[in-house]
Amino acid sequence: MKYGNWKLLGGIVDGAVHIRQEKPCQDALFLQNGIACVADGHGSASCPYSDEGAKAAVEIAAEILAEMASDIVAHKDIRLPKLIETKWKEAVQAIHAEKGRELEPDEPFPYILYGTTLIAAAAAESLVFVLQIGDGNILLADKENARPILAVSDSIGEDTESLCLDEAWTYIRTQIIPWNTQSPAMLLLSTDGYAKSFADAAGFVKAGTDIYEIWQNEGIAYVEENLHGWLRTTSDNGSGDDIAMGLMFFC
Amino acid sequence: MNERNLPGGEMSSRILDFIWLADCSGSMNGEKIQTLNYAIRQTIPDMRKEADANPNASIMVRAVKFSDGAAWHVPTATDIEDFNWVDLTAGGLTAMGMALELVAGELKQFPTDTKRLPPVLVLLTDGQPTDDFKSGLDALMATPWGKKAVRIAIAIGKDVDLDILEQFTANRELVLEAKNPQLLVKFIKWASTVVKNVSAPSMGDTAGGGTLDMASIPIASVDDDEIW
Repeated sequence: MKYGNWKLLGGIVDGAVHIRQEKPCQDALFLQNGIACVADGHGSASCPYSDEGAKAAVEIAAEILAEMASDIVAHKDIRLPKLIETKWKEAVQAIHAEKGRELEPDEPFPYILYGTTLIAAAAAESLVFVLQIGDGNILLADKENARPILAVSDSIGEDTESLCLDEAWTYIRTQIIPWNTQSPAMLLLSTDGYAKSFADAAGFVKAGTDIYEIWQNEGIAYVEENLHGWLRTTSDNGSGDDIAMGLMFFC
Repeated sequence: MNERNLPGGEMSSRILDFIWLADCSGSMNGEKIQTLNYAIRQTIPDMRKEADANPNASIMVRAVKFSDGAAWHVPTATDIEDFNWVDLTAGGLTAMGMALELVAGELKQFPTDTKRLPPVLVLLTDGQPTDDFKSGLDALMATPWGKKAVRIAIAIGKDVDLDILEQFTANRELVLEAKNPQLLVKFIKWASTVVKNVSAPSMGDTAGGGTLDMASIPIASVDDDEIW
């Protein structure tokens, strides 16, 4: 897939633990015209439809980012996050009704049933816009190094913010990355199962520099050919969690 | 796939810390402490089986004993594969607050990264704290991992202050009342099974029992008629 000078790749694997427990993959991936989105449904007992919530999240984020393409900078802090929350909540309500699932009378809609994180990136000529709610990781890699974007340091254990929360838009973090179009760079978006597979944070950041170097040395087709296998091996030897990864290459 | 080019640094499974906190006060002497020792020993094969079934999580076990004071009974986090239970003996008071402070001191050392799974703390007692329970609980809850821990309490017999235990678990459903030896064995076994839920990747609603299978908590049967 190519958008301007951007090429997009992605991969998604079921976690080893979910395979053993015969649970569906809770992660979702969506790539479309310069937009990459990944989401991680919470997967706990209180979130039985979170795989559907994750799928809805990536589709809605991609749709909104495409629609707002030229206005993202102006609306990144309020209108866009609010729109993502509203549209996602409408979408999961529609899924709930369509599937004939029951609701408690006089109770607010239980969005937690569909709870999910979301990471999305949209590329333009001179900037990249990224947004994130909940855990997961974004790395920006170039010839200098790889560095985390929108990272938070106070999240421990399995805690995560979620689109299912009240006023979820207030938890959506956004950033505009001005773009130096003179040199190749890569943006990596991944659900938390990837970073948690490494013994430490440095091991994850190294993955960013490694993929960047592999791309530069072996070409994008090589990355595309191997990406699924890399994710499979990483989940199996690491967290055992589902992994969704989106890669955006600027060349 | 070319393994030589596998991106990233060293990989590792995730760590799940499981800590028993056992009351060894004088009132535990006799059948209660014997049953506790028996039941904890019985959990080891099942926990090993769970560890084998989930190679992506390492179950590390340790234990605290408390009576006149509190001390580590198993001080080193021990892989369940290598874990053995050495019987406890009973005598003295119920320094439950000191036990919580001891665990808090350990949890404070844990790195606050997302790699670690929420620890599981199982408190077993037949009485009421004879020391400053609140200070111990405050110390535990002041640590990021203490707050996130899955906290289960097993009340042995009828003299337990259930309100105190509810303060520890923050969830009445996770205060399990073992009114006889059979139920104590069942509850200890159930508590050991939570590693299955906690070690599976999911959202962090573990504290308070969010990811636990509450429906599987054992209930008293007609055969469980013996009372301590």
